Amino acid sequence: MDDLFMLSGLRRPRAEFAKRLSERLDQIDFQQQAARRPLRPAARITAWAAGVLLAVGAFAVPSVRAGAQAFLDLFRVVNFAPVAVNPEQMKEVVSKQQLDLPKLLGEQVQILKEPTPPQSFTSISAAGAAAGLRVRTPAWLPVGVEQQRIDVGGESAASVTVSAEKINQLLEAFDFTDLSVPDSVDGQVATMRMPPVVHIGYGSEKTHVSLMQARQPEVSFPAGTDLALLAEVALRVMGIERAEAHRFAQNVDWRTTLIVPVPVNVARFRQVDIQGHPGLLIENARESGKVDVPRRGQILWSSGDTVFALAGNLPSSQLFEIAQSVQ
Amino acid sequence: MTTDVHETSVFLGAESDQPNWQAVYAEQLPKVYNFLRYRLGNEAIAEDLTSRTFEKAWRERHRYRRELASFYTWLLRIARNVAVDHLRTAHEHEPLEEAQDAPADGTPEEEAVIRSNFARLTALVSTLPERERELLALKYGAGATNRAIADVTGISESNVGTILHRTVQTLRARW
Repeated sequence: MDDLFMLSGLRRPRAEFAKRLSERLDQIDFQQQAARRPLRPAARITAWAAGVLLAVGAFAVPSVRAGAQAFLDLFRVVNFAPVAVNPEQMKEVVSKQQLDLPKLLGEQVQILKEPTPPQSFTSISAAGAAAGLRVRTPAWLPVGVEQQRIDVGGESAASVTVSAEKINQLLEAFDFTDLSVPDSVDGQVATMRMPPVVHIGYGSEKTHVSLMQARQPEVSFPAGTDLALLAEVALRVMGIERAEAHRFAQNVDWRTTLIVPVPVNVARFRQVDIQGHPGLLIENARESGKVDVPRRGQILWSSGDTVFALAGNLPSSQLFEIAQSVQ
Repeated sequence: MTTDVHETSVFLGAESDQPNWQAVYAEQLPKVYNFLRYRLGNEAIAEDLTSRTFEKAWRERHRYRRELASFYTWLLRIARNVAVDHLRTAHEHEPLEEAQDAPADGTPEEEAVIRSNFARLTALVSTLPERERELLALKYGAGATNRAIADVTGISESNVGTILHRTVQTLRARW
């Protein structure tokens, strides 16, 4: 029994079946589905967009926070998509140029609604009612891991005012002389509303798993905003090479895609499929000398109008199984 | 023996994220079909789930991002999830059956031996755990590399190799 034997049972699909399926595919009006709708004044960012704030939550996991904190403080309200970033390189530039980045960018951010402190609930249904969504739970958990707590964090909102001068200052500091934003973007305001987040904690003696879920956040911005340009700026500042940043910025649909910055020195990532939906698995680097300790990991995905973030100190294969069983 | 995926052959151009669907269809249909046939062991169900896989991929193709995953991996993930959904909702796994209608390539005598062997093989495979069955279907049904299997399942590439090696050894011992 060798590979050839194992492959000997392969068959070509029946010609009639292949033809029938081909015809059925032809009937699907994919052109209409593929057509990109024009940007609306208050375009609702769905799918990956919702991953942003949950990504921030996921990065709150202590072992990741140290490496990601500085970055997320700066870009928490900027659209992102999964890209590897090097916070150390960024810190080096900031330090070299004596940039006060929190001041530079922080002045542009206005908190419209502070989130209320998380409130504890004793049942999933009560938490769902408080958050206004149908709470999903995993059908599978590793042996011994049980539900321990349910919290609901309040709604929050913020706005960001674009300043061409400040962005160009930043580009200059990073020595990106090929890139600049026009004065026309000056004063444009983007607002983001993050609905209540349900946080379910699971655990055992050594295992801690968190499942966060919320309705899609809503982000609105003025009609005609050049999202690709702003995204390219963000990508360059994150350390993405010039041609790659440009290509990426031009090819991504920024109405449905956000940048999820993954620090290269603390994590690695890969795309996964969760119940037919695209997801992102972020796996921390293993602590030095602790080869028998599972890496901490997070999985972000969205389904319908809900976004999810699953985090825990489990092997990624088990996190993956938990995510697949959420229903 | 596994087949490498010629990604460039199914894309319209070096910078395009949109595959050439005619090429995709011709190249990937047998792989997806055989993956599902190996996975479910039933010709009719394999055809039905192959249809669902391609229809889903067709409708959601604008979500495919070339820079994040190979098209082949993306398609296999869809096929895998379609299979998982089917297994979850089925009251019981469909009985494994010998291929009846699929086109054959050899002489009648050769085909009779192959069919007999495949029927016996699928019966043995049905006794394996789900994970091992899935890996075998990806490896020998879809012709995926260990790397592609790792991408699809979330299992590390080295573990995929180890599990497959052990599984084939188990089958060999039971043959």
